[in-house]
Amino acid sequence: MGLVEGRFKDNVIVTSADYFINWARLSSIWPMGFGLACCAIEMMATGASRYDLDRLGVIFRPSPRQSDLMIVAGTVTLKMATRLKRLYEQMPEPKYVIAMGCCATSGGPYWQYGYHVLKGVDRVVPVDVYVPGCPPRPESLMEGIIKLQEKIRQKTIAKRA
Amino acid sequence: MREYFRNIFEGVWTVLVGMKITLRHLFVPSITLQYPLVKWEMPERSRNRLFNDIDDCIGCDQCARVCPVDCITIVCEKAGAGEDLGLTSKGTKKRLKVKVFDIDMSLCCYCGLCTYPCPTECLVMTPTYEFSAYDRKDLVYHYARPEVAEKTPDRGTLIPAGQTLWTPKPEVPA
Repeated sequence: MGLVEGRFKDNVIVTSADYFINWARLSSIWPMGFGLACCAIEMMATGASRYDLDRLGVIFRPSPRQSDLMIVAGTVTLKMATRLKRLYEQMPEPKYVIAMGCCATSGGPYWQYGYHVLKGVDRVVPVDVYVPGCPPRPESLMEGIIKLQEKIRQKTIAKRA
Repeated sequence: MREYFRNIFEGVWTVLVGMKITLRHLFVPSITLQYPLVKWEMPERSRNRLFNDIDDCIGCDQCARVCPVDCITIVCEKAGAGEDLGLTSKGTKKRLKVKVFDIDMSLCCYCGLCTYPCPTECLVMTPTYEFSAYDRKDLVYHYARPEVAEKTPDRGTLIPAGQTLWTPKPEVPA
Protein backbone atom coordinates (compact mmCIF):
# COMPACT_ATOMS: atom_id res chain seq x y z
CA MET A 1 0.00 0.00 0.00
CA GLY A 2 2.92 2.29 -0.58
CA LEU A 3 1.13 4.25 -3.29
CA VAL A 4 -1.65 5.81 -1.27
CA GLU A 5 -0.40 5.70 2.27
CA GLY A 6 0.24 9.08 3.81
CA ARG A 7 -1.08 11.00 0.81
CA PHE A 8 -4.51 11.81 2.17
CA LYS A 9 -5.92 13.36 5.27
CA ASP A 10 -8.85 11.91 7.16
CA ASN A 11 -12.04 12.82 5.36
CA VAL A 12 -15.31 11.17 4.55
CA ILE A 13 -14.03 9.53 1.38
CA VAL A 14 -10.96 8.09 3.04
CA THR A 15 -12.82 6.79 6.07
CA SER A 16 -15.53 5.22 3.91
CA ALA A 17 -12.87 3.60 1.76
CA ASP A 18 -11.13 2.43 4.93
CA TYR A 19 -14.32 0.87 6.18
CA PHE A 20 -14.88 -1.01 2.96
CA ILE A 21 -11.26 -2.08 2.47
CA ASN A 22 -10.92 -3.21 6.07
CA TRP A 23 -14.19 -5.11 5.86
CA ALA A 24 -13.01 -6.86 2.71
CA ARG A 25 -9.64 -7.70 4.26
CA LEU A 26 -10.88 -8.94 7.58
CA SER A 27 -13.62 -11.11 6.18
CA SER A 28 -11.34 -12.98 3.80
CA ILE A 29 -8.15 -13.67 5.68
CA TRP A 30 -6.47 -16.41 3.72
CA PRO A 31 -3.78 -18.02 5.81
CA MET A 32 -0.83 -19.97 4.62
CA GLY A 33 -0.83 -23.42 6.14
CA PHE A 34 2.38 -23.24 8.11
CA GLY A 35 2.06 -26.28 10.33
CA LEU A 36 5.38 -27.21 11.88
CA ALA A 37 4.58 -29.35 14.90
CA CYS A 38 1.73 -30.48 17.15
CA CYS A 39 0.04 -27.07 16.94
CA ALA A 40 -0.63 -27.92 13.29
CA ILE A 41 -2.96 -30.71 14.44
CA GLU A 42 -5.04 -28.17 16.33
CA MET A 43 -4.89 -25.84 13.34
CA MET A 44 -6.25 -28.61 11.12
CA ALA A 45 -8.94 -29.33 13.71
CA THR A 46 -9.88 -25.66 13.62
CA GLY A 47 -10.27 -25.86 9.87
CA ALA A 48 -12.34 -29.04 10.03
CA SER A 49 -16.09 -29.22 10.33
CA ARG A 50 -16.41 -29.03 14.12
CA TYR A 51 -14.97 -25.52 14.37
CA ASP A 52 -15.00 -24.62 10.67
CA LEU A 53 -12.74 -21.64 10.06
CA ASP A 54 -14.49 -21.06 6.73
CA ARG A 55 -17.25 -19.34 8.67
CA LEU A 56 -14.80 -16.51 9.32
CA GLY A 57 -13.67 -16.40 5.70
CA VAL A 58 -10.44 -18.14 6.58
CA ILE A 59 -9.49 -20.53 3.81
CA PHE A 60 -6.10 -22.21 3.89
CA ARG A 61 -3.94 -21.60 0.85
CA PRO A 62 -0.99 -23.72 -0.21
CA SER A 63 1.11 -20.84 -1.51
CA PRO A 64 2.48 -17.75 0.24
CA ARG A 65 1.70 -15.70 -2.88
CA GLN A 66 -2.02 -16.17 -2.28
CA SER A 67 -2.10 -15.64 1.46
CA ASP A 68 -2.63 -12.69 3.79
CA LEU A 69 -1.87 -14.42 7.05
CA MET A 70 0.81 -16.74 8.24
CA ILE A 71 -0.21 -18.93 11.16
CA VAL A 72 3.10 -20.14 12.52
CA ALA A 73 1.92 -23.29 14.24
CA GLY A 74 4.70 -25.07 16.01
CA THR A 75 8.33 -25.10 16.98
CA VAL A 76 10.45 -23.01 14.66
CA THR A 77 13.93 -24.45 14.47
CA LEU A 78 16.82 -22.24 13.47
CA LYS A 79 17.03 -24.08 10.16
CA MET A 80 13.35 -23.39 9.53
CA ALA A 81 13.66 -19.75 10.59
CA THR A 82 15.46 -18.77 7.41
CA ARG A 83 12.76 -20.48 5.35
CA LEU A 84 10.07 -18.84 7.48
CA LYS A 85 11.50 -15.41 6.77
CA ARG A 86 11.71 -16.14 3.06
CA LEU A 87 8.11 -17.37 2.94
CA TYR A 88 6.99 -14.28 4.84
CA GLU A 89 8.74 -12.06 2.33
CA GLN A 90 7.02 -13.91 -0.51
CA MET A 91 3.59 -12.98 0.84
CA PRO A 92 1.94 -9.93 -0.73
CA GLU A 93 1.11 -6.89 1.38
CA PRO A 94 -0.85 -6.47 3.60
CA LYS A 95 0.37 -9.48 5.55
CA TYR A 96 -0.20 -10.59 9.08
CA VAL A 97 1.37 -13.18 11.34
CA ILE A 98 -0.19 -15.16 14.13
CA ALA A 99 2.25 -16.91 16.47
CA MET A 100 0.30 -19.96 17.53
CA GLY A 101 1.38 -21.78 20.65
CA CYS A 102 4.15 -21.24 23.13
CA CYS A 103 6.95 -22.46 20.87
CA ALA A 104 6.23 -19.89 18.20
CA THR A 105 5.56 -17.17 20.76
CA SER A 106 8.69 -17.44 22.84
CA GLY A 107 10.38 -20.77 22.33
CA GLY A 108 8.08 -22.36 24.87
CA PRO A 109 9.59 -25.46 26.51
CA TYR A 110 12.80 -24.89 24.57
CA TRP A 111 13.42 -21.35 25.71
CA GLN A 112 16.24 -22.26 28.11
CA TYR A 113 18.09 -25.23 26.73
CA GLY A 114 16.83 -25.51 23.17
CA TYR A 115 20.03 -25.06 21.21
CA HIS A 116 18.20 -25.48 17.92
CA VAL A 117 15.00 -23.51 18.45
CA LEU A 118 14.21 -19.94 17.52
CA LYS A 119 13.10 -18.21 20.72
CA GLY A 120 9.94 -16.74 19.28
CA VAL A 121 9.11 -15.92 15.68
CA ASP A 122 9.04 -12.20 16.51
CA ARG A 123 12.81 -12.37 16.20
CA VAL A 124 12.51 -12.79 12.44
CA VAL A 125 9.03 -11.59 11.41
CA PRO A 126 6.65 -9.04 12.97
CA VAL A 127 3.90 -10.82 14.87
CA ASP A 128 0.40 -9.39 15.16
CA VAL A 129 -1.34 -11.77 17.55
CA TYR A 130 0.16 -14.22 20.03
CA VAL A 131 -2.04 -17.20 20.80
CA PRO A 132 -0.88 -18.93 23.98
CA GLY A 133 -1.36 -22.60 24.65
CA CYS A 134 0.57 -25.80 24.32
CA PRO A 135 -1.07 -26.41 21.91
CA PRO A 136 -3.92 -23.89 21.96
CA ARG A 137 -7.47 -25.13 21.76
CA PRO A 138 -9.17 -24.58 18.41
CA GLU A 139 -11.29 -21.93 20.10
CA SER A 140 -8.13 -20.15 21.19
CA LEU A 141 -6.90 -19.98 17.62
CA MET A 142 -10.28 -18.69 16.48
CA GLU A 143 -10.17 -16.08 19.22
CA GLY A 144 -6.74 -15.07 17.95
CA ILE A 145 -8.10 -14.70 14.43
CA ILE A 146 -11.03 -12.64 15.73
CA LYS A 147 -8.53 -10.45 17.59
CA LEU A 148 -6.60 -10.05 14.35
CA GLN A 149 -9.83 -9.01 12.62
CA GLU A 150 -10.32 -6.36 15.28
CA LYS A 151 -6.79 -5.17 14.60
CA ILE A 152 -7.38 -4.99 10.85
CA ARG A 153 -10.55 -3.00 11.50
CA GLN A 154 -8.45 -0.23 13.07
CA LYS A 155 -6.20 0.20 10.01
CA THR A 156 -6.48 3.17 7.69
CA ILE A 157 -5.00 4.03 4.33
CA ALA A 158 -4.38 7.60 5.51
CA LYS A 159 -1.30 6.58 7.45
CA ARG A 160 1.00 3.64 7.57
CA ALA A 161 0.12 1.48 10.49
CA MET B 1 -23.30 -52.79 -28.25
CA ARG B 2 -24.53 -54.50 -25.11
CA GLU B 3 -21.18 -53.94 -23.41
CA TYR B 4 -21.43 -50.23 -24.24
CA PHE B 5 -24.79 -49.70 -22.48
CA ARG B 6 -23.70 -51.88 -19.58
CA ASN B 7 -20.71 -49.57 -19.04
CA ILE B 8 -22.97 -46.51 -19.02
CA PHE B 9 -25.36 -48.14 -16.59
CA GLU B 10 -22.55 -49.21 -14.28
CA GLY B 11 -21.08 -45.73 -14.34
CA VAL B 12 -24.37 -44.09 -13.37
CA TRP B 13 -25.23 -46.74 -10.81
CA THR B 14 -21.91 -46.57 -8.94
CA VAL B 15 -22.15 -42.80 -8.79
CA LEU B 16 -25.65 -43.14 -7.32
CA VAL B 17 -24.37 -45.60 -4.72
CA GLY B 18 -21.79 -43.08 -3.64
CA MET B 19 -24.22 -40.16 -3.73
CA LYS B 20 -26.60 -42.07 -1.46
CA ILE B 21 -24.19 -41.52 1.45
CA THR B 22 -23.85 -37.86 0.54
CA LEU B 23 -27.63 -37.53 0.40
CA ARG B 24 -28.00 -39.17 3.79
CA HIS B 25 -25.56 -36.69 5.32
CA LEU B 26 -27.55 -33.82 3.87
CA PHE B 27 -30.22 -34.41 6.50
CA VAL B 28 -27.87 -34.97 9.44
CA PRO B 29 -27.75 -31.93 11.76
CA SER B 30 -24.57 -29.87 11.50
CA ILE B 31 -21.96 -30.48 14.16
CA THR B 32 -20.28 -27.11 13.78
CA LEU B 33 -19.87 -25.18 17.00
CA GLN B 34 -20.73 -21.54 16.26
CA TYR B 35 -17.73 -20.54 18.32
CA PRO B 36 -17.87 -16.86 19.27
CA LEU B 37 -21.58 -17.20 20.02
CA VAL B 38 -21.64 -20.72 21.42
CA LYS B 39 -18.89 -22.04 23.66
CA TRP B 40 -18.25 -25.46 24.98
CA GLU B 41 -18.30 -25.88 28.70
CA MET B 42 -14.81 -26.84 29.69
CA PRO B 43 -14.52 -30.12 31.55
CA GLU B 44 -13.77 -30.00 35.24
CA ARG B 45 -10.02 -29.82 35.98
CA SER B 46 -9.24 -28.74 32.44
CA ARG B 47 -5.79 -27.23 32.28
CA ASN B 48 -5.58 -23.80 30.77
CA ARG B 49 -4.46 -20.47 32.20
CA LEU B 50 -2.83 -20.57 35.62
CA PHE B 51 -4.31 -18.57 38.43
CA ASN B 52 -2.65 -17.75 41.71
CA ASP B 53 -4.65 -16.52 44.64
CA ILE B 54 -1.98 -14.23 46.04
CA ASP B 55 -3.76 -13.80 49.37
CA ASP B 56 -3.27 -17.50 50.06
CA CYS B 57 0.27 -17.75 48.68
CA ILE B 58 2.96 -18.31 51.29
CA GLY B 59 5.86 -17.93 48.86
CA CYS B 60 7.26 -21.41 49.42
CA ASP B 61 8.76 -21.48 45.88
CA GLN B 62 7.80 -25.12 45.36
CA CYS B 63 5.84 -24.39 42.16
CA ALA B 64 8.75 -22.46 40.67
CA ARG B 65 11.16 -25.27 41.46
CA VAL B 66 8.96 -28.01 40.01
CA CYS B 67 8.19 -26.08 36.82
CA PRO B 68 9.93 -27.88 33.94
CA VAL B 69 10.25 -24.69 31.90
CA ASP B 70 10.89 -22.23 34.77
CA CYS B 71 8.05 -19.94 33.82
CA ILE B 72 7.26 -18.90 37.40
CA THR B 73 9.34 -16.19 39.06
CA ILE B 74 8.96 -15.67 42.80
CA VAL B 75 10.79 -13.13 44.92
CA CYS B 76 10.09 -13.19 48.64
CA GLU B 77 11.09 -11.15 51.65
CA LYS B 78 11.17 -12.26 55.24
CA ALA B 79 8.67 -10.70 57.53
CA GLY B 80 10.21 -8.32 60.02
CA ALA B 81 10.49 -9.16 63.69
CA GLY B 82 7.12 -9.07 65.36
CA GLU B 83 5.35 -8.49 62.04
CA ASP B 84 2.24 -10.58 61.54
CA LEU B 85 1.34 -11.31 57.95
CA GLY B 86 -1.82 -13.13 58.86
CA LEU B 87 -3.11 -16.54 57.90
CA THR B 88 -4.18 -18.10 54.65
CA SER B 89 -7.76 -19.24 54.19
CA LYS B 90 -6.69 -22.76 55.22
CA GLY B 91 -5.03 -21.51 58.40
CA THR B 92 -1.36 -21.68 57.36
CA LYS B 93 0.75 -18.93 58.89
CA LYS B 94 2.35 -16.64 56.32
CA ARG B 95 6.03 -16.05 57.05
CA LEU B 96 7.24 -14.53 53.78
CA LYS B 97 6.15 -11.43 51.98
CA VAL B 98 5.61 -12.35 48.31
CA LYS B 99 7.08 -9.41 46.44
CA VAL B 100 7.02 -10.84 42.90
CA PHE B 101 4.91 -13.67 41.60
CA ASP B 102 5.13 -13.63 37.82
CA ILE B 103 3.89 -16.40 35.57
CA ASP B 104 4.90 -16.18 31.93
CA MET B 105 2.04 -17.91 30.15
CA SER B 106 3.95 -17.72 26.87
CA LEU B 107 6.45 -20.21 28.28
CA CYS B 108 4.04 -22.40 30.24
CA CYS B 109 3.59 -25.89 28.85
CA TYR B 110 0.33 -26.49 30.72
CA CYS B 111 1.50 -29.65 32.44
CA GLY B 112 -0.07 -28.65 35.75
CA LEU B 113 2.89 -29.95 37.74
CA CYS B 114 3.06 -26.69 39.70
CA THR B 115 -0.41 -27.15 41.15
CA TYR B 116 0.41 -30.47 42.83
CA PRO B 117 2.99 -29.37 45.41
CA CYS B 118 1.19 -26.13 46.33
CA PRO B 119 0.60 -26.55 50.09
CA THR B 120 -2.14 -23.94 50.33
CA GLU B 121 -3.76 -24.90 47.01
CA CYS B 122 -3.64 -21.32 45.85
CA LEU B 123 -2.11 -22.05 42.43
CA VAL B 124 -4.67 -23.64 40.14
CA MET B 125 -5.23 -24.11 36.44
CA THR B 126 -8.41 -22.41 35.35
CA PRO B 127 -10.61 -23.27 32.37
CA THR B 128 -9.94 -19.85 30.80
CA TYR B 129 -8.43 -20.39 27.38
CA GLU B 130 -9.14 -17.13 25.56
CA PHE B 131 -6.26 -14.86 26.41
CA SER B 132 -4.36 -14.24 23.20
CA ALA B 133 -2.53 -10.94 23.14
CA TYR B 134 -1.15 -8.36 20.74
CA ASP B 135 2.06 -8.15 22.72
CA ARG B 136 4.17 -10.90 24.21
CA LYS B 137 4.56 -8.93 27.43
CA ASP B 138 0.81 -9.09 28.01
CA LEU B 139 1.12 -12.84 28.49
CA VAL B 140 3.21 -12.36 31.62
CA TYR B 141 0.89 -12.24 34.58
CA HIS B 142 2.05 -10.31 37.62
CA TYR B 143 0.05 -11.72 40.48
CA ALA B 144 1.77 -10.06 43.43
CA ARG B 145 1.98 -6.67 41.79
CA PRO B 146 -1.47 -5.50 40.80
CA GLU B 147 -0.06 -2.05 40.07
CA VAL B 148 1.99 -3.50 37.20
CA ALA B 149 -0.72 -5.75 35.83
CA GLU B 150 -3.13 -4.02 33.51
CA LYS B 151 -5.92 -6.48 34.01
CA THR B 152 -6.18 -8.77 36.94
CA PRO B 153 -6.75 -12.34 35.81
CA ASP B 154 -9.64 -14.20 37.27
CA ARG B 155 -10.35 -17.77 38.13
CA GLY B 156 -12.60 -18.34 35.18
CA THR B 157 -16.18 -19.44 35.16
CA LEU B 158 -16.06 -22.99 36.38
CA ILE B 159 -14.36 -22.48 39.71
CA PRO B 160 -16.17 -20.07 42.02
CA ALA B 161 -13.99 -18.00 44.30
CA GLY B 162 -13.06 -19.69 47.53
CA GLN B 163 -13.21 -23.12 46.01
CA THR B 164 -10.31 -25.16 44.72
CA LEU B 165 -10.07 -27.70 41.98
CA TRP B 166 -9.09 -30.36 44.45
CA THR B 167 -11.46 -32.33 46.54
CA PRO B 168 -9.93 -32.40 50.01
CA LYS B 169 -8.51 -35.70 51.08
CA PRO B 170 -10.54 -37.43 53.79
CA GLU B 171 -8.71 -37.27 57.07
CA VAL B 172 -7.31 -40.62 58.15
CA PRO B 173 -7.93 -41.25 61.83
CA ALA B 174 -4.71 -41.95 63.64
